[in-house]
Amino acid sequence: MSNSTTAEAKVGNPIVAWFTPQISLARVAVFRVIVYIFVIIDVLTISADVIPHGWTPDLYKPLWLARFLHIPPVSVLGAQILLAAIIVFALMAAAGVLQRISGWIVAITFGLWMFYTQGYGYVAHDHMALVIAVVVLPTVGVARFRDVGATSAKAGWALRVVQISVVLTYFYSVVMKWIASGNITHWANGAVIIWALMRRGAEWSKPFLEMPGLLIAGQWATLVFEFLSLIVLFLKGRWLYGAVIFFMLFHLMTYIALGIHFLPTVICWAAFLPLEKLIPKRFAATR
Amino acid sequence: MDEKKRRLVTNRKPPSESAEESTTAAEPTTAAESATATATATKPEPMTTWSIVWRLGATAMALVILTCGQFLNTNDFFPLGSLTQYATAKDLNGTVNATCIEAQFPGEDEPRRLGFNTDTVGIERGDIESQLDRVIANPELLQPMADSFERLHPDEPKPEQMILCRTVTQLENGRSVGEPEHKILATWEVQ
Repeated sequence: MSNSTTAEAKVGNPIVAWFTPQISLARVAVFRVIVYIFVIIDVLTISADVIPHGWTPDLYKPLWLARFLHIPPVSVLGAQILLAAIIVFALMAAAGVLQRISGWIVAITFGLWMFYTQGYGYVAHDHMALVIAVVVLPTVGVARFRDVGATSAKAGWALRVVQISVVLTYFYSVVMKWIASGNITHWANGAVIIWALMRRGAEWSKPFLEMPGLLIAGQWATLVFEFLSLIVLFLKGRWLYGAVIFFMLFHLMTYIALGIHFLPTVICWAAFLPLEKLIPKRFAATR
Repeated sequence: MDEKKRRLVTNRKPPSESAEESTTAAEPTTAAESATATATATKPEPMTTWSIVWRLGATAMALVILTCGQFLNTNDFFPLGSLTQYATAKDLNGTVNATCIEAQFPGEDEPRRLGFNTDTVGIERGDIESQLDRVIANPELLQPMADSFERLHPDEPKPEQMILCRTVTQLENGRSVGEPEHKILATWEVQ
């Protein structure tokens, strides 16, 4: 048997090792609680438009995967059943009951819900990391809170994929600005924030419309940190915590000024943190 | 025997040992913690070749689709579509457009501006703006919005006509000038 064909040898490859780090299974158990509880909040608030979409089937504009799978427009009853299924199975998945089955059912039902919230014209980009998290979490298998000392590369891959999705949400948005504008300086020196404030700005933020220079500086700053977001994948310790706090503050600011909360991406930043430390030691050690 | 020979040749530790090493190196820092971790830890099983291959393959494929989504500038591949939100450059001397929806009610002189959201007309402004050409070309698509309004506001009269409109604000060096212009994009006699 040659070296290169064994899994063990592949783990020795630094790229493979980076994509599949050994991390505590308890970290996944905690992350899962955050994600699945948020999924329930999401379907009841942020993406609650699926039930109203049941009344407007003519405006259905299915996305590629929905067309490929021949997913019909949602009916009101269908949306209500889907909502109930998501809530029940997300609660089970968060509690770690029938972990694989409940996780996969949430992946399917929440995926369908996403096609129905995004499939009526507007596609929101804040859900990329969350949808990916819901899809990859069931691949980890069984992960319990008491598994603080047990590590898994499957868990490492799942959280790594979520981390990559989070940073690419920012990094590719710069790429897209470049592509859509032709010249990135046109975007940075343009009136995007002015446009956003005029269309959906909070009353208190309207005076900033009188300071276009400040808003342009804000656009340049946004470009810089979105471009540098990839670095976060390689940060550790205080630098990593600092970066996470920085992005949290950015989202807090855009929420206060524009009502854009980006919460589905915000909660996925938890994938960068040593969540197993939240578990009390006594509980982690008992069997 | 083969396994032992291979380890000697490749100078690698058996999987359980190397995995345990990474566990203890990554997690506990003190001897006491280390002992607890070893006591509670299940030794991580090494992933099979297939397990690694499909994971890396899926990651690579997703990255390719996401990258194509950007360069093709399409949202169609959701959740791996383009990240176009606020990506288009806006001219400091250009215009700011906002789509609006109005309804003409019986007995009222002027059409009334409605909230463009799911609570009022059953759909968000962003959804309609993302398929504006389709709605303008097929104004009968305003009918479901009238139906939703009627369903959501049982105490209000039924609208006679739905008007899809746009407000256009002119910018000059990034500041708005004059009153926003009001344009009618499509009208529909409610049935």
